[in-house]
This record gives sequence, C-alpha cells and structure tokens, in this order.
Amino acid sequence: MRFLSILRAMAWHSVRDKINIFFNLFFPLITLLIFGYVFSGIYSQSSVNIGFYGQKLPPISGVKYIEYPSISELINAVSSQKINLGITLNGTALLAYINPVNLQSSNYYTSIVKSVADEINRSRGINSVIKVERNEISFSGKHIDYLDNLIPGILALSIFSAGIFSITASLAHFRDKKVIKKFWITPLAKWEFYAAFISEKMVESLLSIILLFVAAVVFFRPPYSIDFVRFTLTVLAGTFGMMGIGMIILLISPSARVASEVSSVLYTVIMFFSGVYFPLDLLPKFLQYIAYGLPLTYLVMAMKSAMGIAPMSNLSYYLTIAIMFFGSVLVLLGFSRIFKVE
Amino acid sequence: MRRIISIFKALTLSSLRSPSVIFWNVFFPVILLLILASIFSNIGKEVSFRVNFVDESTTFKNTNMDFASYISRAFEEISAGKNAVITLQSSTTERFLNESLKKLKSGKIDAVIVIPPLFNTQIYAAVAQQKSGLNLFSKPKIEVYTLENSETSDLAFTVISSVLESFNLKILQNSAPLSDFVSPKIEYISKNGQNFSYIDFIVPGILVMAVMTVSLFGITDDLLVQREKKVLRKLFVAPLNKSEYFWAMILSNLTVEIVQTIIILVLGIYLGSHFNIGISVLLYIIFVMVTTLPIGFFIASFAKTSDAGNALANVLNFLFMFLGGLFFPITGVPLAVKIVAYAIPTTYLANGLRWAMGTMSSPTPMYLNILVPSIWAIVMIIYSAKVFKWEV
Repeated sequence: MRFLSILRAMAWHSVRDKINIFFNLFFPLITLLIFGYVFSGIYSQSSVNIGFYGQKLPPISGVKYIEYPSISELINAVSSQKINLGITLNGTALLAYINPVNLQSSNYYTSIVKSVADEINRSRGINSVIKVERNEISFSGKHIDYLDNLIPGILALSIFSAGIFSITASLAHFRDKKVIKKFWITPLAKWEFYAAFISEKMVESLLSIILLFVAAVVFFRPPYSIDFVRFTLTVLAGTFGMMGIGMIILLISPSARVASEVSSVLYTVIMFFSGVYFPLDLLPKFLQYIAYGLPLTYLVMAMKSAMGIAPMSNLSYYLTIAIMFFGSVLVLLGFSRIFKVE
Repeated sequence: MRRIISIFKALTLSSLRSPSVIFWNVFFPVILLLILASIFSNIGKEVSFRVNFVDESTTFKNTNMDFASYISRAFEEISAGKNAVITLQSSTTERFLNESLKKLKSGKIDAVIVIPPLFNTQIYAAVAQQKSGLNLFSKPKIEVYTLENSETSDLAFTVISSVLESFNLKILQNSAPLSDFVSPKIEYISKNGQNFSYIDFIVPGILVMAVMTVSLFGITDDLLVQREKKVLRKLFVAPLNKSEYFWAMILSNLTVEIVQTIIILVLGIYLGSHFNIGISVLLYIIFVMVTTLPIGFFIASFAKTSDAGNALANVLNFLFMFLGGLFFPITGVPLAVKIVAYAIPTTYLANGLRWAMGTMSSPTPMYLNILVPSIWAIVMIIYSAKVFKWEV
C-alpha cells in the first residue's frame, strides 16, 4: 500500500516536472522526426535531377532531365547543388559531373550514369554480352531502407538516455536535496522506496518508447515484424542495464550536476559509435573495437532483432538481455551505497 | 573600461575553470570533427568485403573457353594479399549456394556471385550472334546477391560489377567493332579545383556549430543561471552597470569562439582539409560570430528559468545543426522540412562560409547568406532588448 502511495507520488512528480517530460518524451520525438526526415532524404531519394548539355539523353526511370545552355552553367549547377549530377556526351565519352559533397549518394549516381551509357549503347546496337543481375535479399523478406534501420537505433538511444538520466538526474537530485533522507524518517521501508522509484522509471521509459514507436509508425510507416516478447524484454533489460551505468556514474560523481554533465558527455560521444546512424562496418578498425565494447551497440542490435529487421542468434540475444538485467544488481548495490552516504 | 576588463577576466576564468564549458566548446567540436572525418573519409577505403563465389557452370570445363574460371581467377587475384579488398570463398555445389544465401541473409557475408550452369556455352553463343547480328539465344547472366540496405553490400556490388564490366568490355572488343561504344567517365568537381573530400565540407559546418554552441549555451548560462542564483543582482550592487556586464560577457564569449575557431581550423588543416584563408574568410567568420550571439540573448529573454532555457537551447541546437546542413547536405527532404531548412540562419551561414573558404559554390545566393542571418540577428536583438529582465 505504501509502495503504491510512493509510486503515485513519484509519478505525479515526474508528470509535473515539465523539463523531465520534455527530455524524456518530446526531445526524443523531435530527434526522431528531424533525423527521420533528414536521413531518409539523404539515403532514399525517389527521383534524381540530372542536368545535361548538348545531345539529348535516353529516358531512365526515376530521372528528370534539365537542359543547360553551356557546360560551365551545368558545372555551376552541380557545384551549387541545384541538380544532383550533370552529364554531357562528348563523342564516345559520357562525362558525368558529381558533387563529392553528396558522398552518401555517390554510388547511386554512378550506377545511374552507367545505366544512361548502357541505354545509349543499346540504341547504337551494342549490347553487353554478360548481363549482371542484382538480387537484393533482406533478413525480414521485406523492403527495409535506411530509416527503417534508424528507428530501432533511436528507440535504443531513448532507452539509454531514460535509464542513465533517471539515476544521474532524478535520483541524484533526490539525494542532493536530502529528499531520500527525509523519507527514512517516515515508516517507509527502503525497498518500497527503491521499488517505487525503479517501477516509475520503468513505466516512464516504456511510455516514452511507445510514444516514439507510435510516432514512427504514423509518420514513416516502417515495415516491422515485431516480436513483442523480445521488444518488451529489450526495453526492460535495456532500462535496467542503463540504470546500472547511471548508478556507476552517480557513485563516482561528487554532485548531481557533475553526474548529469558526465552522462550528457557519454551520451553524446557513445551515440556516434553504436551503429545508430552509421553501419559499424564502415567505421575505421580502431573505432570498431571501441564500438563493440559499448553497451549501446548491443542494445541497438537487440532492438533491431526484436523488430525483425536484423538477425541475432538466441544465444547472443539472451546473453545480451541477461547482462543488461545485471544492471539491476548494480542499481541495488548503488542504492545501498547511497543509503550509507545519506 | 577597467570594470569591463575585470568582469571579462572573471567570466573568462570561470569558463576556463568549468570542465563542462571546456568540453562542450572545445573538445566536443574537435571530437565530432574527428569522428565524422574518420567515418566518412573511410568509406570505401579500408573496408573489405566477404564474398562467396558459386560456379555452377558445367560446359567447356578445363578448356580455353571456360570463361567462368577466368572470372573466378580474377576474383581470387583481388582477394590475395594482406590488404585484399575482398575475402573470397568459392565452391561449385548447390549446398554451398544455399549456405551462402543463408549467411548473406544473416549478415555474415556481403555478397554472393552465382555463375549459371550453361554460362560458358551462352557466352560462346552470345559472341557468335553479336558477330552475325542475330538474336536467337538468351544472354549469359551472372546473378549477384546482396543484402538490402547494407552499405557494405552496396560497396561490394560496386567492386564486383566493375570486375565483371571489364570482362564484358574484353569480350565485346573481341566480338564487334567498338568505335561507337560509349563509356562513362566520372568527374568529381570542386570549387577550389583540388581533390575534394568530406573533410573540406565538414570543417566549415563544425565551425558554425561550435560558434553557435557558445551563444546557445554560454550566453544562456551567463544570463539565466547567474540571474537565478542572484549573482547578477549582487553584481549590480557593486559600481557596475548592466551595459558593462553585457560587453564583458560578449567579449568573454567571443574569446572562447576565437579559441575554438583557431583549434578547428588548425585541426582541419592537419586532417588534410583544403580551404582558403584570406580576408573574406576572416570577415565571414566574424559575421558568423556576430549573427549567432543574439540567439543566446533571445533564449535568455524568452525562457523564464534556466531549465527552460536549456531545453529551448537543445531544441534550437538540434534544428540548426541538422536542418542547417552543417554535417550533411539537405537533399530529398519533404517540402515542409525544406521550408524550415531555408528559414533558419545556419543554412545560410554554412553556405556562406563554405563559399568564402573556397570549399564549394553556395547553393543560395551570397546576398541571402548575408541578409537572412542579419534579419534573424536584428529581430532577436530587438526582442531581447524589449523583453529581457536582468532581475527576477
């Protein structure tokens, strides 16, 4: 009964704390929407604008041609990103001008130029002898694009921040303001306080993930096949695991402010190395070693597996979950340490 | 003037003594520059691919018409050596093909090349019909399986298709006159005429971000936190007026901005970035500093508490960084996002600075790169002057 009262009190505290609501619910949502639109635009272009000078070029699906009166104007348009690429046919050379700024799309543009050359050759009666046919297969059997891969990463990031900051911001704040000490004067058992705190943060984390997921479905309609058992386990184990890391940070930090700063720095640095935004295979080797030593990397993998878009063997998955749940041991040990400090 | 210098010294010392100020204003831009440069300059350079080669061809085996074995040998050659581009496993069985496709699906390998059973016969027939102008037999087809939405798999396919392309060209040269054959030639263009790399693009972006961060978090902190802690009230009890504190604060933040600008430029040169350093660059950097400073005043005037100020600063920071195209060009986004991107000042500041540094032509006219950030700055200054309260 006392557990329920303290749980209700903590829930009210969280709901009334506008900054907490902002950083736990709305900020991840803003992140999802901004990244969703920016990165889906960069990686999955539906149509390409090609400028050309001189001879007309054969139609290619998904390509819109724009004619330029001179080669210098064509190059300027590419350079200032008014068009995606520029092409001109000079004798038997199909010159393509690409702005290297668009490095993510560079391979795609090169393949379009090749298709244009193939079409011209075909119209001249020259056909390639060997046909190279590309078959793309996916783990889920569904079409998965960059954004579909990004969304589980952002959900994992949200679990990471909710877990860490619940300890380094909320609990540290309670400790520094002597709120916990005041509770000990009441007939409240310590386990009731700890259990209520953890349960409330778990619910908060789960709500935040559900809100993000609903937003992702509404705005981007990703084709996931969710394993709800794995999904729930990942959210719970992930939150516990990250709370454990938060507890370590709190125990080595002299104040709530320092703990919060250290968490922010860790969060910002770790998010670039954990395969959320860039595939780990593309990182330099030494950064890959760092990446595979980070807990967030495994949380991202577990989330992708729970959403059915990436493979993860049962052994790897349940080992990851078990290690994350070990975070709860750290949290409990930390609570007893905080109690001593108080 | 002496009082301005004293407060300036105090604020600057306070910044230097604060680990978080040092981290966010100096180390974070440096770390971000190093991370992005190492990730994106690495694309296609150090990456190696795991490819399985399945040769199912059954005709003309062990003869000089065994084209499948020539292709197999070409892939073996590029998989040899310490820094090989691909790691190759080959076999001829159907079981190996099924296992390879399973491995590809689970991300253990990046591509599978399959040579069909009648490949050698089909090549022979295709060459013969190319010479005769007939079109009776189907073309030999090589299937390349890749993993969907895997950049490593995409790069593997690029390497594989370029190897197969060179075979195609050789066979074509032997089978028909190729005076009309059109071949593509890619030219990467840059404004400064030198080899352009991602680092050239990112250095001006990081510079704008770093300068903006000082204003967003530094000035907001100087005004809101100090106001909340009643430090400002205590300061104004001393013989110090508000304009003196204001100018000292500007000077202190400008000092941090100058230090971070020098560090970023030096690091950019060290990492191999090509850019011009001249009077126009210097003037535009000063323009970036001057037009981003009012953002901090605006937040301090708009937000009632330091927590609210921090939240607003985080949102603006995110919007300005990622929609301003500081790290990646904004292309292919929906119209609504494009409107926001073209309404915010960082889009124009990054374009203008990249133009001034000779990195690339500006996608927006230069007068807009001056006008839009100036309008933002003027509006924010007027709003802040009217609304900001020194005491609460």
